[in-house]
Amino acid sequence: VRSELAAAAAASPASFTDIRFERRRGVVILRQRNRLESVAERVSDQGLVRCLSPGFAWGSCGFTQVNDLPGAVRLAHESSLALPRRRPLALQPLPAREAEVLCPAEAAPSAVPLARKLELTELVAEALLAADRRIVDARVQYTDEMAETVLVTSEGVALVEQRPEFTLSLLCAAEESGTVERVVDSIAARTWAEVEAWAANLKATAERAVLMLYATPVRAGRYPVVLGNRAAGLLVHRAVGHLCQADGDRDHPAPLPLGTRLGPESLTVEDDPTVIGMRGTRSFDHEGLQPRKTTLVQNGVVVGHLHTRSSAAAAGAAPTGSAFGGGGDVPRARLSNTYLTAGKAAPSDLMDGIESGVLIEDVVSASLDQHRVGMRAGFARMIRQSQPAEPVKGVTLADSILALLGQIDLVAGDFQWDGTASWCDRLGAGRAPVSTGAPHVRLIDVAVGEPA
Amino acid sequence: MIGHLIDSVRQRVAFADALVTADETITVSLGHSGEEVAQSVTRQTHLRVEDEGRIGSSTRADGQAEGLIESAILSARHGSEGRLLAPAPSPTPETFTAVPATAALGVRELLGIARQLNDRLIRSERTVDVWAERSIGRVDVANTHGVMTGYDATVAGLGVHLRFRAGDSTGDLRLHAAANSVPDEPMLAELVGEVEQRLSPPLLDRDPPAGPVNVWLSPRAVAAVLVPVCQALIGRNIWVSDGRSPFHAGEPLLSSRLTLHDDALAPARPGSRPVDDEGVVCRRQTLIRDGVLLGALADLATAARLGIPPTGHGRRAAGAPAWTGWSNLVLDAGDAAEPELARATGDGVLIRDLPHPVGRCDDGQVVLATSWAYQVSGGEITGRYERAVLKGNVFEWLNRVVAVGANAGWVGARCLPDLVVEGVEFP
Repeated sequence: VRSELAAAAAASPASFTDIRFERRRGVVILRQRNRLESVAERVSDQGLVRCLSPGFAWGSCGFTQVNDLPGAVRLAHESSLALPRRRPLALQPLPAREAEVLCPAEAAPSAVPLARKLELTELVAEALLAADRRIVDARVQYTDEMAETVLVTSEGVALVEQRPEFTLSLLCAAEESGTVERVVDSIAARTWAEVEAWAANLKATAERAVLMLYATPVRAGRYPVVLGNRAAGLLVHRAVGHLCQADGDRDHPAPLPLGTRLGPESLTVEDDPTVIGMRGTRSFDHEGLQPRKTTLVQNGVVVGHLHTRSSAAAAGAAPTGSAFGGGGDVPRARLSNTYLTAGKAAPSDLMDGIESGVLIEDVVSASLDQHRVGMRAGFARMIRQSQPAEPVKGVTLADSILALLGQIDLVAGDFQWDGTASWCDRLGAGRAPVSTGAPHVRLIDVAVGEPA
Repeated sequence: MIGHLIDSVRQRVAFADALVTADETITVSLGHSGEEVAQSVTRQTHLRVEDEGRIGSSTRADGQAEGLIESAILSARHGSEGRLLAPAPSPTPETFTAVPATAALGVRELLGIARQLNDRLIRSERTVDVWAERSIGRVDVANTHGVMTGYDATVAGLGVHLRFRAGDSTGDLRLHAAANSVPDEPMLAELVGEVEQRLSPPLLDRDPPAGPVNVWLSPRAVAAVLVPVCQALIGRNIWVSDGRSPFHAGEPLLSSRLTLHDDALAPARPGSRPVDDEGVVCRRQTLIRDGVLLGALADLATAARLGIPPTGHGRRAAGAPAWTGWSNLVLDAGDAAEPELARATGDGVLIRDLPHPVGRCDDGQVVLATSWAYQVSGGEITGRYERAVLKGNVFEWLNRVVAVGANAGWVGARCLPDLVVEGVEFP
């Protein structure tokens, strides 16, 4: 495939052409309670040709069969000549290089027999149902894939990366007296052993579903709020990371200007696609650049943006290796492993002195609409006399980003990565696998219970 | 290709069916956040086999029949137990799914349409992004019982994302329209008219009344409110709930003013098709008549599990088992012209658009937040509220419908009238 792609890029009439091709091969297993719902094998091929000619805009063509490549190059070139530009697009220079990052055969998902994967889903469903008499439903989805990405450019770049991934997602429902509560959880890992280890310890998930049966609706009002690791990580991904992507789109036309104060001194947010073993880690970005760590917010002030080659050239900034396009979508500047760095406070300090507050341990969704961020808790408790107390439901936060981040007054030192199977959507650029990380964080005075 | 695939697998399993899809799409985007032309040429083959009482499936994009068959058989060997009520060949209905003029649209024509839309919307206080898109598709379905059919499809779409500033206030608005035919002057004019209609009432400096008040829902808002109803009518959700589903055929589900169909045979709509992805012939099906639940949608697996006939709503995609999906949702128009809808609303709130609901769609308890709602005073639209949030139970709202609009309009694959609902709360 690599040589076919290189030949097609070399034959392209455009002044610049890059071609990306991804093959994903894996299995999907669905189980509900003790019943196996489906087993499906899949081989998904998706590719993208991009062309650029002087004085014109980008043109692209997605394809699924390598046989269609000459036609796709022709269509991408034709598309690139359709839109003249007054200001020519420039690209950050990229030296020619070749590299292959291959996965050893024994680490590939295909090295684990299908029977073992089926057995794992059965054990997980059984464990959840056996955890408590009130657990009435358990749905388990196991997926794995070996993703092979090949990228070539007409400048002489030729890169190959093989990347295994194992994912286990589950939904657990508890019921009593007609009340039903559901919790969801998941893990995405690079090795089978990590998934097996996670699956052996699901008691807490079942317990959360049962506890939610007795949760009372939170009384809407303003409270001190402590965010757990997962909630704080998701908040900085949404509220900070998405507004530091340099290339605009219809959702976010411009990034937050450098120098904008977003929060207190204790707020430092970084994006690092080089962290070993994380979901957002990449050997090269989808324009062929070497990824690197970028500090987005330093001591509360925006200091960096994530760039593509053209946005970096336009801004006169150094490239960050952040271009990513899901499947056959065009690459845009994307978040990878985004995290809030550890602070200095002891975790126990965060709840100290709180008479009545809210602790958000898990989040089901976070949204960003212009500069307003919303968050819905998956599991939350009241804080009473400085201690976690009864579970509450209906916990939502919704406020402007500046108002919300401005309320951060303590950041703990207990940083933790979140291993959840998280995806990040970006308009026109598909879904990207990402990770988040954060310590516990305290927000001093936040409206809780507003619809997010 | 599909015939060769079915012939190759026929002798090796008890039953097999296949779906081959091909699609060519052009998208042009213009406006404030950049200009781009993107095309794609994609193909996908989905094979499902049933053997020794077990079902497995496989998908590939590269068209390699042998690899596809081997992996489908492997997944069936370990797969779920079950039987499929496989269809036999039968005549397919005449359905208008492809428009040659739409198929002929190229980059130049789409750019012209997008530029027209952009030019009509641009103002000094606005930033505008527009896109125009057309897809040409071919769907082929076959099985080892002799089904061998297919159809061509075209879809064209227009979209606008507009940001504006009015004093200290900023807002954004997203609208789109889709049909099988070429976007023409009436379609452009309707989209532009809808944008101006949304922005023209003066902005109010207060929130909507907490309620309960009467709420007038335009077709785009009705589409969001109907999401939990559509989910409830997917047959699979009934057997997944193990008898706990509160929805039972023959019992009232919604207001007696509401009659709801799924119509795969509606001419030239995005959901139109003569046959589903499992080879079952499609038809128009009434699911709720005068508020009473008549039935649910079923793919082959659901039909076998529930002991009912398949309804022609099977869908298939890469890496997933077949599922049940709607084609074109049609809610019958009523008899209320616009002045009567306004009178029925009284001193209430008009909502023209809503996002996908958040919350528990299975029991209808949802939260719907919209950027704007409109004040209705004495039957007149008198101002625009910034941000409104509806909270409550969709099934309860749809049991309190006091007026149904006389003109149903298409929103993509949904044909919906306006509704006026009483007693809605804005927390």
